[in-house]
Amino acid sequence: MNLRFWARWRWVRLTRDGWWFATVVACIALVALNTGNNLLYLLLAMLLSLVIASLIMAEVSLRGVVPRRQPPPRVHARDPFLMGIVLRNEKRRFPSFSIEVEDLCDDQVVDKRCYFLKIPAGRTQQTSYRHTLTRRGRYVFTAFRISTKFPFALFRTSRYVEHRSEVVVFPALLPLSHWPQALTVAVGELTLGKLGRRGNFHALREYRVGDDPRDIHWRSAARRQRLMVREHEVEAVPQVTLFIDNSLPAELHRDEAAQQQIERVISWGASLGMFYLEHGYALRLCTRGPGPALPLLWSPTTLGRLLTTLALIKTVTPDVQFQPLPKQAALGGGPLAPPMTGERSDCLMIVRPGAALTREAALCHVVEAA
Amino acid sequence: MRFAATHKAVSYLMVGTAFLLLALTGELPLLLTLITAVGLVGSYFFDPQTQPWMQRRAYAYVWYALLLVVLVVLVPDVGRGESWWDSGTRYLCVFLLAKLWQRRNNSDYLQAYVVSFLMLLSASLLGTSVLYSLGLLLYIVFSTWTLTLFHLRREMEENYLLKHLPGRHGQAAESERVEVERILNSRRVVGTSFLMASGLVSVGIFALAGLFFLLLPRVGVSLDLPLRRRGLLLTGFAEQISLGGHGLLRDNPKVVMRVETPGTAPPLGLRFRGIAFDHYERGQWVRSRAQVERPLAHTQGLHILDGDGGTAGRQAALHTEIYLEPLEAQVLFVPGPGRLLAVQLPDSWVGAGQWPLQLGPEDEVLAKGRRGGVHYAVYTARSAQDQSAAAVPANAQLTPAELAPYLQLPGDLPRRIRDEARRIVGGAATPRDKARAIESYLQKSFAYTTQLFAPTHAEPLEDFLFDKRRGHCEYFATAMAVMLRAVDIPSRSVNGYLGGEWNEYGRYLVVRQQHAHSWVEGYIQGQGWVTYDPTPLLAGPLRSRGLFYKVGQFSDSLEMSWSKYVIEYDLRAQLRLAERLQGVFSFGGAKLQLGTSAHRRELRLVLGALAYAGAGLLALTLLAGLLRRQKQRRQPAMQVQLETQGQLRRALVVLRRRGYHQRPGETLQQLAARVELAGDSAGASFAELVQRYYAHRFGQQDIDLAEVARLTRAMARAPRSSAALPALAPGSVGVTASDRDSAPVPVAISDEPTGPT
Repeated sequence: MNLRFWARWRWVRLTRDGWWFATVVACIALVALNTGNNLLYLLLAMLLSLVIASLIMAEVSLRGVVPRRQPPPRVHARDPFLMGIVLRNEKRRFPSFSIEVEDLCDDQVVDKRCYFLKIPAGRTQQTSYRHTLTRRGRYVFTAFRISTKFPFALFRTSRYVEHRSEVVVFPALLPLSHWPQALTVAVGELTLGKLGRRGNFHALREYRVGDDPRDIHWRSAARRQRLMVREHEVEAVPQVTLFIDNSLPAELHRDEAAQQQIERVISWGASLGMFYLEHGYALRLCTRGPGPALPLLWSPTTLGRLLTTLALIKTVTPDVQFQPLPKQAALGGGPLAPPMTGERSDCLMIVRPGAALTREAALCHVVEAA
Repeated sequence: MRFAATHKAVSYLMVGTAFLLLALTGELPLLLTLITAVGLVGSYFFDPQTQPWMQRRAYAYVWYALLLVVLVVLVPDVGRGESWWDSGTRYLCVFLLAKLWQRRNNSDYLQAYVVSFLMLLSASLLGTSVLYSLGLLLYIVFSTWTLTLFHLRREMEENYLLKHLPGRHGQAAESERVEVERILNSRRVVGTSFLMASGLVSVGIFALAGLFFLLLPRVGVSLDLPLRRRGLLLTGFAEQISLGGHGLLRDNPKVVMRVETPGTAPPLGLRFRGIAFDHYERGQWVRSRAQVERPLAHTQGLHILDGDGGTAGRQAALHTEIYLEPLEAQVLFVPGPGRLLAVQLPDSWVGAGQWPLQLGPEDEVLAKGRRGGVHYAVYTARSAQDQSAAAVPANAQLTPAELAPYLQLPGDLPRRIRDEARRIVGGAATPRDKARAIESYLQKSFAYTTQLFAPTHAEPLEDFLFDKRRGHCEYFATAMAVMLRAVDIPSRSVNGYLGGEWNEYGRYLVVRQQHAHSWVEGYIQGQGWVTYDPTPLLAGPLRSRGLFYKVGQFSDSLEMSWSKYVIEYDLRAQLRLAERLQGVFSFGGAKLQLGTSAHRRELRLVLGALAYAGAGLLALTLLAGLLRRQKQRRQPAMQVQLETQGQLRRALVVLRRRGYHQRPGETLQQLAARVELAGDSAGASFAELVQRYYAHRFGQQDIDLAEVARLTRAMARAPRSSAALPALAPGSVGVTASDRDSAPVPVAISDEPTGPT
């Protein structure tokens, strides 16, 4: 039973104990009414007063409590994450007891509650709830529901507090062991091309423990009276182009299994893209859809951009073309980069099993995301 | 102060207060009261969670056996006519002890609280003392503390299970268990300020309860509960009495009734007529016509017994309000002197539709089936006659046949008693003069004593009149009644109370057992029954007026106020209150007229309808809530979810049978991993079940119920592996072998509970 209480944003709901209590009150009322026993009336009056006191104390406990959300920097689908919840009691005198905070995602209550036993007056407390979102995409956390069963657990009194924040859930990541042998080997070779110690001078910085002593720039060190080392630019950044085939025939758009395959394709793309970026590759991402492709990504700091793009990518029909690559990326006159080595291409195309290959696939190392 | 210790202390205070209130009603046997009190106090010092001998199974079995034995002993009592409520109350005491001596978890505490509430309920039904109010106030204070702390304790035990440690990029890396014991022993959760604030709240609750008490409409029908409330045993008010009983009461200070005479001081020598006897035989008075009882007509509880009992007559009459204590006797005492004009019963009796007043064969006012104390008003004529010859309620003209029983004398009555009677009346001409002569003779020639003597003759009156020449009121009254009959004047012996003790604080008369008295009524042609009191005037022992006396008087005035304003609070009192409030807040100049019986009847109907409508609405609301819940359960999505959760519960039961208990704070996935790690053949099925449940619950994916059921069945049929007992994963939440049995196993399907970081 939901009762809209004296304000629009107060909800009072009987708990299981409350139902028992209400039944007892009803029984005592019936007996008191039919016997005229005044001590029973007194007992009944006491129980009714408990109800009033319970509602007032719950209101005092809920009032002045301000929640805030602290989302983690990265959330991947099917990967548990911790959502931080900060609660501040802005009352001057009264502490708040037994507060439960529930998060509302897309106007649905997240199935986790954060519990605060006591928040002293004017103090802030922090906790977190562990949650897993199974699908990638943009999630909007709209509000909090703050509840309390204080003081007697007869009612759950709740109020809603608007607090909007967006969380982009990145595609699920796959472990390295899931990848085909060819890619693993290739990765092993490619890692040789990481940032080198010798190359064009980039900058001077202070010496840190672990730096190669051969990089110490003695002249600057003498001038500044502290050790300075040289940083070098990478001489050549290997480049990989990832084609993500996010197409699905229109008749399969409602097919759960086919959708799962597409999700797996995107997960593959995210995992590989992340791996390459972390290993020093410049990465170009190309998916089917309107608009230009992402600019060249070439450092781990751009990882967020890659994952965000993949998180928001939509399934399209096969007639939608891949995004055109920028001119400077087209080597050898074609739109695609030529193979780096004989057997292996630096163009990877990830497709779902059984997908029809496009002309771009001829220049790519095609991987089926099984 | 430590949280757990505070919770324990206030719990005991609450339970102890409820038990004390019950004990104060006097309905519990003394031995049971003592055992329960000692057991309750003793259990405080033994903690079942730390004492090894209290953790043995045999210890629990002893308590189960004891509860069973007590039940077996008490059930036949109910069969023998004992009130089931009384038996249940006694059982509650034993059950309370069982819970307190085995308090291991929250549910034991909760059950003890429920028992304490039932004790309070019993005390409400059985007791009427003013101490109840004090006890109720204490109970409210203690219960506010207790229920608040109990709620916090339960919440922290259910919620403070895991502490999440953030990993790389904010991902949940690990969760570790938070020791609830540490929080329970914390001094920072509650302190003196908390107790003071919640104590103030409970005072507010008490005040609010008072307001509700005043406002709740008294429109009930006063049905009787099947309770056997033991009243005060009165000597001298049975169907048959022997000479000597009253002498034993002279030092008995038990209060029988309290009497108010609104607007005037009570007349001196006010006597309260109780029961009369018509047949005398060898020292025994018997009511030979006990079966001749006449129901009294009434209007709204007003029983008019005399033609002058109308409105005008009542205004001129002596108005007496009597607050009778719970008595075993069913007689209503009627004050004299003066004819009884009318008796007004309380509204609660009227509302019940019961008309229990009857006029007994000797003109007694009887309330058949009355239980507990009662408040009633009596209107008697203000007699100008000599008090000793005041008229009593009766028809003045009785036929000789009707008077014959009052002339009965024992066949073996010694002749010298008859001769003595004739000698005393001597030359008196009229029956009235004869009666006055006998009365005067006895008053002047005999001495009053409460010292009983062993009779030497078959007829005790012979001892009194010719040998001892001293005795108490019963001897005097019997002697006069017999001598009146010996001179052909119809007479009967009357038992009641004479006088009382004036209470300065409450300005009312307290009548105690020690004021019991016997006197005589003689039938005088043309006057009817006339009261005679042959007992010499007795100067009672001077009571000290020291501090104890004053405290006693003040305490009694509190008791009277409690009885008057709380126990007897009824619709009439509510209307009086409304009228007074009307004087304070005049409602637009309109004058409410609520005092008349017709208005009260209409108001009762309206308020009764409202109250029953409210009760019906509440019942409908409860019913609607249940139906709504059922409806929710019938929704397809909810049904799928409930079915899935049901299958998961079954799976958990299967795992428990195989030795895997879900630990507090352990997620289903963690449990599945643990079972698989232990090499159990049911692990794979359970892991798949959990995976499907998670995908459905948090991923909005459809779930195949048949497949879920198949997985559960597969778990149940999976062969048990040798490594049935799971090994603890490194860093996992630890439950030792010793607490595996006692650890609470969450039945509800819940994912990771959260806790503060």
